[in-house]
Amino acid sequence: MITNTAFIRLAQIDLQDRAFKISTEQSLSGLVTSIAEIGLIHPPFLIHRKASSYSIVSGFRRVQACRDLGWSEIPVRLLPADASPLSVLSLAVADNAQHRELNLLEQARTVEKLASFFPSDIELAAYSGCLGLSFNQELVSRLKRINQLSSPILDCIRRGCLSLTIALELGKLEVKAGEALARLFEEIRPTLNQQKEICSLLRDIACAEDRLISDLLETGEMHAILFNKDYSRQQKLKHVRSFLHKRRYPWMSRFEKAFEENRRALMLPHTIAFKAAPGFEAQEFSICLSFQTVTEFADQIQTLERLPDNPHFDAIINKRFADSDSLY
Amino acid sequence: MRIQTLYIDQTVADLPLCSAIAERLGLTPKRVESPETVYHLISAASDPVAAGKRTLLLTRNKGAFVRPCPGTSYYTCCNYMILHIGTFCVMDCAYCILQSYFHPPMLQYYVNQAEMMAALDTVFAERGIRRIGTGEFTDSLIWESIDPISEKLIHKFAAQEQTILEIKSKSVHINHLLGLAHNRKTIMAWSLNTESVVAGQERGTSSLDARLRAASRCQAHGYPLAFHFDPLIIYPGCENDYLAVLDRLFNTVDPSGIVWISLGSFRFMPDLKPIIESRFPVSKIIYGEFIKGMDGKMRYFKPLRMRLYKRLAAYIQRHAPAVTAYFCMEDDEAWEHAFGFTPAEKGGLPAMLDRAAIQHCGLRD
Repeated sequence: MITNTAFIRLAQIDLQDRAFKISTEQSLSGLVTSIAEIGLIHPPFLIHRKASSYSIVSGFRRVQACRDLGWSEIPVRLLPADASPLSVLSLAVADNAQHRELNLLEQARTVEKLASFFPSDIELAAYSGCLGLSFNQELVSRLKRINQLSSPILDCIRRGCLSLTIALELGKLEVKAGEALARLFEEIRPTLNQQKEICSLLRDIACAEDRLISDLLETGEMHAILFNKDYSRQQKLKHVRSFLHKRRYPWMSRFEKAFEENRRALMLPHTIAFKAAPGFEAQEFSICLSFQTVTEFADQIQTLERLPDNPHFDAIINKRFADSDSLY
Repeated sequence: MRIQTLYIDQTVADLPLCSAIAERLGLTPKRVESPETVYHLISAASDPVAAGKRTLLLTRNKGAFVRPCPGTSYYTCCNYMILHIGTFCVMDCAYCILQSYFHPPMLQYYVNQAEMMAALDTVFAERGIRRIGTGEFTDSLIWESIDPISEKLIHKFAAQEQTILEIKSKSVHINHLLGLAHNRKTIMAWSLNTESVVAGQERGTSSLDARLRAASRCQAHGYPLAFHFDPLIIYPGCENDYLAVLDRLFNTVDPSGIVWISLGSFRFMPDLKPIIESRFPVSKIIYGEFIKGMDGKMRYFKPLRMRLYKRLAAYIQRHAPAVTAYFCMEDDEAWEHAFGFTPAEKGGLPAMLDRAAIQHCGLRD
């Protein structure tokens, strides 16, 4: 597309027209300083829309920074007034995407703006390659759903606290629950897998108990964890996961607790790892020894030889825990 | 059967059975060049499982008619054989693994029955006791209204001495089977569950009472019986509910005529969960305490299922001590805990069931 370079008075630029705005970055401080020191290296793209008024195609922050610096006019690159809307939008996207990686919200905004030009997600995905993006059909579909999320969730995405996957999961929940979980994740910062686990546990508990997830997040137990000033972020995360696990799997939790109590009572050194099968499904138990010398090895063997006489060991192997009647 | 659309694979369209089935259904069949055409239609539906229950394809079984039950290595399997008469089911049980087993789930009925009978002849010609059932990939009795296949099979099995046929169902379409000369080579079996599970999780099935009455009528006509408590669903109060079902069972049929009773707790591949959530939003069965088993299937946490097993096994041993009770796909720990022995101590589970079949059905090796 052929552009002309020109100087335009800032008063003629319509800052309210955001039809082509892709960037979500709002801070201007670094940019203002840079332009003040070095000047405007890359003139923004503008298009003549109405009589003596110009719309920004790319460079919203640059225009605003120049205004903040008190400039009266700036150099711009003018697009032909009769340029097709898709070509203008494409330039806006490409200009952003060629300089940096678009964040999730910018990708979602791009898809939202391009969607009206393409009858299907697959065609939009194919076109995205021309703009320096590599969307596939599935990603286009997911990015479209991002645009339907509530503001608090979008804010969390903007701050980098939520992945696309989790954001969309939260979008499936009742609005109040999704927003509450977004805040929770921002506060206790679980890993992606932990976020998935927490979502899954909450959803299952809510379905099993016919309750709202938002109600579960408001329970006294959750409050006691989240508002405990003595807990660090990691401790809050640990207690939230433990609380939900116990609520979702009450029998298993009791069994695990009984196993752990007996295992601890064996007083094994940390160099002897004693484990049950995952979920206690298989009958096998395993012991893993860590040693560096023959003496250490001999000591550990002696410790192991004493285990059969230990009642806690017998309780574990035969799963005869204190409340075995209720467990088996 | 509430079939709305009937497709016929053109490679079998000339078989008389196809036109007979179309006439019984009152539907004009649509010919298709290959089953894939119908697979695509079902897959494209918003609820492929529901669509699969309304669409019937008459086709050819291109694979083996008689094949081993797909057991897994860690858990003890009974070495059952499946007679592959068709796939899927018109009833709609929340827990049904067939919803995610077939891709897509679709009603198929195999009309190349001459080949099926030939496959049975091959099995009958081999030495050894065998147990064969038609109720694994479908319900045995749902096809009777369009083709009395059980009737044909009962005649077929009655004429030999070393293989039993197990007809397993949740329906009661048995009137036409009662007077047959079955020679005790067919076991009539029903899946049983508690009233609340039948009412809440088994759409379109016969009531528990109806199943028990049907079993009683079959017993009166000399058929050996079997019952399958599978899947056992764990919920508050389930133990007493299952004991009540056992109580009703033993009050309705004579335990001496029961060949075996199987117990198996609800287990499923993880991809069944979203299907149940979507198709049975009121159902709570997937929110039990499940762990991933050694075969990759979700199973109830072992102490929970062992607790239920122990009570049911004790009740069966007390009220019907001669009946062979067994677990479908459990390990030695569960056997030892509930029954007090492992299958290996009795020669293995297949041998246990073979002995029960020999005793009740007069099999001869």
